[in-house]
Amino acid sequence: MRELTYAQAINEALMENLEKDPRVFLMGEDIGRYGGIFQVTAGLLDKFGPERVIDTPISESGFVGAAVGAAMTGMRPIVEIMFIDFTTCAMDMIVNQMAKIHYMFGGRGKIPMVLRTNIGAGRGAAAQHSQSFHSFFMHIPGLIVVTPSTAYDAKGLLNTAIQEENPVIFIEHKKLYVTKGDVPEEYYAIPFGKAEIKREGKDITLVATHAMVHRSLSVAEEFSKEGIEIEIVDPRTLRPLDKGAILESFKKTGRLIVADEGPVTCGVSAEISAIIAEEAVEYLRAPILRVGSLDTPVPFSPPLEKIYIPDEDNVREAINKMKEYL
Amino acid sequence: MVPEANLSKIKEGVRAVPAARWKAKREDIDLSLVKGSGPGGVILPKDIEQFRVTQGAIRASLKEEKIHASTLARKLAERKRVVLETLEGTGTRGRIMMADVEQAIEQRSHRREGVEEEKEWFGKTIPMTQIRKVIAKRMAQSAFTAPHIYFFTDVEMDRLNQLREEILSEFEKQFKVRISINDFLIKTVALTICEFPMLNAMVRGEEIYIHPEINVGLAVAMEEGLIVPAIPRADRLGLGRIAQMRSDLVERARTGKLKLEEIERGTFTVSSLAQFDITFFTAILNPPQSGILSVGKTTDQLALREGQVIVKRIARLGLSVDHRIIDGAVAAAFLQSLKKRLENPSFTFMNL
Repeated sequence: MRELTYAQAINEALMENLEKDPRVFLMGEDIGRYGGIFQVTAGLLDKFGPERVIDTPISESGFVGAAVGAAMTGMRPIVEIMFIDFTTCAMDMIVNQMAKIHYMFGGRGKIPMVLRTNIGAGRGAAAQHSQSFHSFFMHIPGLIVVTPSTAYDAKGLLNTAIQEENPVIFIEHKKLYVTKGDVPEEYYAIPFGKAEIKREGKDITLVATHAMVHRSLSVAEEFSKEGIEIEIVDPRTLRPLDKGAILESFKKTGRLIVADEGPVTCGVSAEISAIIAEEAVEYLRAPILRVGSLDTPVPFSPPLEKIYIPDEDNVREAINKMKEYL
Repeated sequence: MVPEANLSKIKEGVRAVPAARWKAKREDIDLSLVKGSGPGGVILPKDIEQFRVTQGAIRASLKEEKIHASTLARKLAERKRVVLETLEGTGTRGRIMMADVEQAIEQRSHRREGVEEEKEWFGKTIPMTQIRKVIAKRMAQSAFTAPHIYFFTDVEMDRLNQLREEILSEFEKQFKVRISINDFLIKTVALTICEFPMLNAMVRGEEIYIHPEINVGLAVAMEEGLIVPAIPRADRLGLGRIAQMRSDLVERARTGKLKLEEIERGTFTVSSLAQFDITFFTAILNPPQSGILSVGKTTDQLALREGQVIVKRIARLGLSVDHRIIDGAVAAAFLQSLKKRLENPSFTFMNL
């Protein structure tokens, strides 16, 4: 199969949907002439013109609001917010409009729109351009939250997101844009709420998202040499969350680590840990461990930023701790 | 059995992961005897596994050591279900021979014919069966933690007996079961509990929890020990259904086919010795329940009615309650209300 980068896979999904469906159009800052800050929309302006690939002013609230309105009239807008940090400028539009309208109008207004953005530190972009607070959106009923970790998942999940009748927050990861993976040439879609077992194992269940999937995979290989088999479960969508797959894996291993790049407090891992405590505590063979970012702003200093980001060392540390309960 | 207070003290010291706790509970293993291999000595599921294997090995080695028996003796014992451990061998160095087993079989058949050999029992140490251990533990727990108070009353059974006689054959035709006095008792108790919710309560720490459902248990005596399956929501069930469920539960209690849930769901117990020549008796509460009704035999008693000497059928009912949460006046009112219902059965069972 041919290989594409994560960014190219998303680009291809956008292009194919623009070609196929006249209701689809893009809006965002620097997505046209510049091709998007991470070049995800490169080439699309030339191909589809400024009517369908719209460079907007720096006004998140304005263009997210415009997209909500367009979606209500039957269009399928896809907006890009340059960094997840800037979604805060449009929170009213996202939380109070985009997520609520379908409900408040008794189902008569639909918002079939996709809001693309990204998380992840590690580019020396400091505290306002590096955050990973995607768990915010898990907390809002009415939103679908998608977190692809591979090029294959990114394209398949974006195809589903564009077809979806409800608003989708599509959260990409900065460090993954350049990673490569197999992507089929034909159209395919990955359903929401279906986790994927990225690696099978019998000893520890490691639920990982985004870049933590890759960091965990490489560490899991090291432990495999010691005879410890780690099962890596990638939920792929955080809302809806595939509780069944997580519980099934956990009931097999009885040990759980959750690795997500957001700050640990009230994060993705807290929700998953609570599910285990509520529904499967009798299977618990060791304390649940969480791997995530420190509870501080993202530091600008490169050495501090490196410590801040949860990486292979942190995953290894958690597994070593859990090893004592094997 | 140590009182509850001591038990909780011991348990506090035991550190175990939840999966190990559940495993130990399921297999009835005392966690305080298990050595933990996790960090800081925390007990892991594999430690329970190890503990069981070691225990099994100890038991097996004891057995190996104890029993010397010939192959023929072993085979015969197995076929005739004679427990070798109970025999004394007459062979070299106490080896059990086929003749010893044959003798045991013969003695057993004598016993069955009524020729009881007393030396078999007196002076013997008998290990408790699993069910006996559970009963011992629960009864001691109940007696030592719940201060019991007892109440008795006489109930005129003539009208209830008469009602039963009247409906007996039609009832059996319709519900395929013979209605018993116990069925009436179960239903009446449930109806009376509706009026006195505290009799459906349990002590939970420093709280009183009143169960949402009234599930009346019936004590069933078996050779191995007492068991109390409960009829769920007896207040809402008709007598037909109660009789059917009672008959099914008692039958399955005797064949050991009850489900755990059917025993654990009880919120009040009825214990009857009416078929014995027992006038009345006191009962120990079935923990964590707060009330138990004890039913003695029904006797004829003379009474005066309009200057005439008449005979009344009288049953003596006893009620034991947990004085921590139920005071004497409440218990007395409950028992009195129960008595009134039983003495006026046509109104009680009118299903208004």
